[in-house]
Amino acid sequence: MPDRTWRYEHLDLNEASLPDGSAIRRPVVAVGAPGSVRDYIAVVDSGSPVSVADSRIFASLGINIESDAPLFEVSVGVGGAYTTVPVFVVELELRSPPGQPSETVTWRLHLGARRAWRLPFTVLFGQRGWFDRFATTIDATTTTVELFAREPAAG
Amino acid sequence: MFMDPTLVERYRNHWVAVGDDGTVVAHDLSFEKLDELLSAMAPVHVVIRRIPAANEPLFVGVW
Repeated sequence: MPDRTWRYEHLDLNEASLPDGSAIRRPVVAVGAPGSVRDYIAVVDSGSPVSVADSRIFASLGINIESDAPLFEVSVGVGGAYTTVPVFVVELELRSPPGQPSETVTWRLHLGARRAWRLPFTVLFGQRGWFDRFATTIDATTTTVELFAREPAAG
Repeated sequence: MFMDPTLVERYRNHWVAVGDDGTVVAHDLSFEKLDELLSAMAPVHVVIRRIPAANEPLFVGVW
């Protein structure tokens, strides 16, 4: 049994509606650099094998993508554009959902740094980096993350 | 993560920092400039996001 469960309502990122008028709502969580007051919106995507993010947030994670040596590089396509991205080990904070007591969970993950990012979210979490760390269920309206006592909570 | 929906059209194609009350605390066309603006302000909890242009294609996550 999980120690606690965080439920994130899917979020309208203000993308164009579908032709039938229905809004796009994406499965998202909020993350940030440890200790920072800035949240970034991350989409959770079980179909993605890896996790990638806008390269511009890596400085706030203590990574200089120009001079720091990546763990490895991987060729990925995001939004129809294919490129090779450097992958770094970073530390992120998962922030509790809106309306719940403010808590954080910190974890380390492999995160690719994608340049020329223009998506309406900042991080894309996939199997490596998210699903290998958090037990997650996504349905039509909610992303549910199960947290266990072994995970350090702060905040 | 809430943003006042009445503000969306005004900030399309902008990077915005949204405060806990859903209002836009700072904005700019570039992420770097928004970062500068926020760094010059007193620290306040914000959600940083980019409001897509109205005609942007839909990201479907195909790798």
